[in-house]
Amino acid sequence: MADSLTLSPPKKLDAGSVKIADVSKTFRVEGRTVHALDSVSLSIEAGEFISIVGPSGCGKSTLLRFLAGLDGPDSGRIIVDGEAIDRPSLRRGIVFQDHRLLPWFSVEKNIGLSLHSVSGSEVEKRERVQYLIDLVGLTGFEKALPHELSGGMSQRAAIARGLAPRPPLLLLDEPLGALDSLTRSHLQDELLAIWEREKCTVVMVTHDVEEAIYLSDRVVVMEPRPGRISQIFNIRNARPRYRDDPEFVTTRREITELLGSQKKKNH
Amino acid sequence: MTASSNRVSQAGLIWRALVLPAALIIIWAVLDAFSLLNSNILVSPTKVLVTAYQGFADGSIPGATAATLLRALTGWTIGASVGLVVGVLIGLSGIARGLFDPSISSLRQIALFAWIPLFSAWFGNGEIMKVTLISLGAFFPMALGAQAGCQNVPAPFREVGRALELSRFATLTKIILPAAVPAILTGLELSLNIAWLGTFGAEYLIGTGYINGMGDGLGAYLAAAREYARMDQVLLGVLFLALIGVALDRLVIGLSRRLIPWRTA
Amino acid sequence: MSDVTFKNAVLVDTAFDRSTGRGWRGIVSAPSLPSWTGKAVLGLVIPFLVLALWSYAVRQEWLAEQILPDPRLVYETTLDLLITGQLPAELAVSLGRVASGLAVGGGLGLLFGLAFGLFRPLDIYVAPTVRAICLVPSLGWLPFFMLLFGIGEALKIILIAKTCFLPLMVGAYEGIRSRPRKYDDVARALELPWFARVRLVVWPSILPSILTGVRQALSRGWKVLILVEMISSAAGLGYLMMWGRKAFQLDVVFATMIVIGLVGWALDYGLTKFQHQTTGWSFKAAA
Ligand SMILES: Nc1ncnc2c1ncn2[C@@H]1O[C@H](COP(=O)(O)OP(=O)(O)OP(=O)(O)O)[C@@H](O)[C@H]1O
Ligand SMILES: [Mg+2]
Repeated sequence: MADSLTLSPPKKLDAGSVKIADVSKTFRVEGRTVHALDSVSLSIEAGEFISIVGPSGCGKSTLLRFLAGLDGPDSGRIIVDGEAIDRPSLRRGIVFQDHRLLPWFSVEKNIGLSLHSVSGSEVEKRERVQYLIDLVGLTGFEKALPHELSGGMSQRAAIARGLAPRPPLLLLDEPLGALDSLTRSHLQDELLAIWEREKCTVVMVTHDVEEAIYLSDRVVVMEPRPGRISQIFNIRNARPRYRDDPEFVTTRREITELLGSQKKKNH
Repeated sequence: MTASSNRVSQAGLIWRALVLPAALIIIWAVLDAFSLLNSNILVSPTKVLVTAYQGFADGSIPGATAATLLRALTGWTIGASVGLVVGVLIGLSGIARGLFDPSISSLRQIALFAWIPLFSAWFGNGEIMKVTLISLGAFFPMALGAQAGCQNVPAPFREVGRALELSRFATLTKIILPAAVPAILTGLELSLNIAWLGTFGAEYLIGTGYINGMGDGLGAYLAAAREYARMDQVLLGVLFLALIGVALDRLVIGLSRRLIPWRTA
Repeated sequence: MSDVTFKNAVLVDTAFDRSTGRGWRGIVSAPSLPSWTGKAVLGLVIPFLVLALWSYAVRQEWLAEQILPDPRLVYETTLDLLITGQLPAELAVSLGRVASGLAVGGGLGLLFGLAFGLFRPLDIYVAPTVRAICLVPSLGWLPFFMLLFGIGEALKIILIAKTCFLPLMVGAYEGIRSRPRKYDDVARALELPWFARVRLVVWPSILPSILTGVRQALSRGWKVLILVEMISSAAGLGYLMMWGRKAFQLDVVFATMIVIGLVGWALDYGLTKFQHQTTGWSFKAAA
């Protein structure tokens, strides 16, 4: 599996399609049963950019972990490119909510780690790592250890680590959460550019409705207890998008109101 | 450490822990029953029990234990008290720290028992020498604990003191010392540990006859037992040394938990 | 006694403070003392006072010379012992014993700790017994070992091995048990093969606690060695010191004590430095 990855850009255009069918999951937390996901179904086409928004605890991270193959659902199936997922793969890159850089490795080595199981020469890999470091704006911090980075810098390093093996399906769990608004909008554009160039499928969890609309083809709104999809918004505006565009503003209000009504319902 | 998994209860864990020792004792007893043991080296379990009974009957074991305990506690009290005062002083005052810290850190590096030859030349092989040695051993961890405690009081705590405009004395008694208590307790535990072992080591070393004089206490008891190659007595003494050490340890930890319920850190 | 339950938080912390910049700034927080010169001068006050008092006492012949030798004699003896090579030779013997004890006991401890940490049945059935045996302090084993193994070289190595066993066992065990699991997901997501997972993800995360174990093992082993050498040896620093005491040559005793202290300090300092170099992240990541 890993060997099929190369460092050169992908040629296939149809890689990264996802079919989530009737996925449910319950956890037992201190004797109580938590319905983290309740028959969630969603089809994602290859090359789509999907955002998931929803209140805390509605199962966004759980769903993303299923897509990555780190955990499996109690019932239901997840199929990526025609194959049921039963384990993690480099073809589905995940960027964790809590960055998870290995504290004993420098930025450079952390990013390089994701190329460990990828075929390719050392020189090629080093170039790729350096390219990504420059891309996420960490030039000069190659040798820095994670504890020497700010929260936002760590997140950027984690994004670079997720991008390094060129996964056809990229899973991002609040990747821009800890960034200041300037870096954030810069990285949003960077993310768009990467997505357009790599032609990968992106599933991104975010709390920022504006960010979701700005980036995605579709915004999936989830609701908690039990965690399920409440509505999906298609964003048809052509890119580049403008945040003060009337349609943009309308969509944002709709989603925000939906999220607000969920909150009321739950309290 | 003992995060018992859901499948195995606490009691189940204890039973399982006892399987191996039980098996070993059975093997030991069986070997003995078929007289396969070299009776000089590996004595039988019954012999150890008989020796224990005799030791208690003639008072030699309680006597030795009491002597060691008294000595250890005396040395601990002296050493830890001095250590507490010096440690707090060093922890609070930059000048005191500059004056004493380098000397204390250097002296601390000398292994405790390396003082024995010097002390025995100065104070003889009697009680004074032993108690001095034990006090010295107990001094260092206590001073270190108290210093670390006073020095590392979290800044927010100090700021509370400043915000409430407490006097220096009130800051010391109401904020710094209470905040330093956990570190001081750790120092106290550690110094008791060292006092106990130091007592045993001193008694044993002087009891071996390499330095003249024998003395009393568990160390001397063990030294004599070894001299006469009484493995039963050696086993018994070692067991006692460990049991009382653990008991002391638990006692201090339990007491300190009870007396001081809060924990900073 | 349960040397393990003493978390050594105090010792580790202060050692850390000293070897990084934090402690220094703390010390110089005393009013207007510029940098390290002031600190050095201040630190030397007490030693100088002691030395002065000592010399004065010798000059006035307060005590017999056998009991309190002239500091200059101590200095000369130290130099003499160094130049004639006697002190280095004894030191080499002692260090050799510690090294082999650490290699044997520490290696076994590491293996046991890893095994207990990795295999739950071993942890449940065997570990409690091993721990209970370890509750008996190394010193307590001394008479037992002396009867079993005599007073030869084996005794010293075994006793030091026993001393080094526990800190490494605990270090490895705690390292495995408290290792952050979240990085396992990273290793899985990046499809690291088994060996790379152990080498790049698991091992680095337990190394800090193992190194702390090594440091503790070495410092305890060194102290126990001195005692054994004093009791039964014909070589080594402990022997040299005991010889000086019996011959009432306290200058030799003093010289040996200085060396024992210096070596103990150097071992710990070196290891701490090494620890900060290889696993420095673990000190800072926690803060
Ligand atoms: N490993 C687990 N064990 C037990 N419960 C879990 C586990 N993982 C998730 N949960 C529960 O599942 C629910 C959904 O969790 P999840 O992390 O997916 O939420 P989220 O939508 O990502 O929230 P946030 O926006 O705060 O990150 C929560 O109620 C959580 O308590
Ligand atoms: Mg989440």
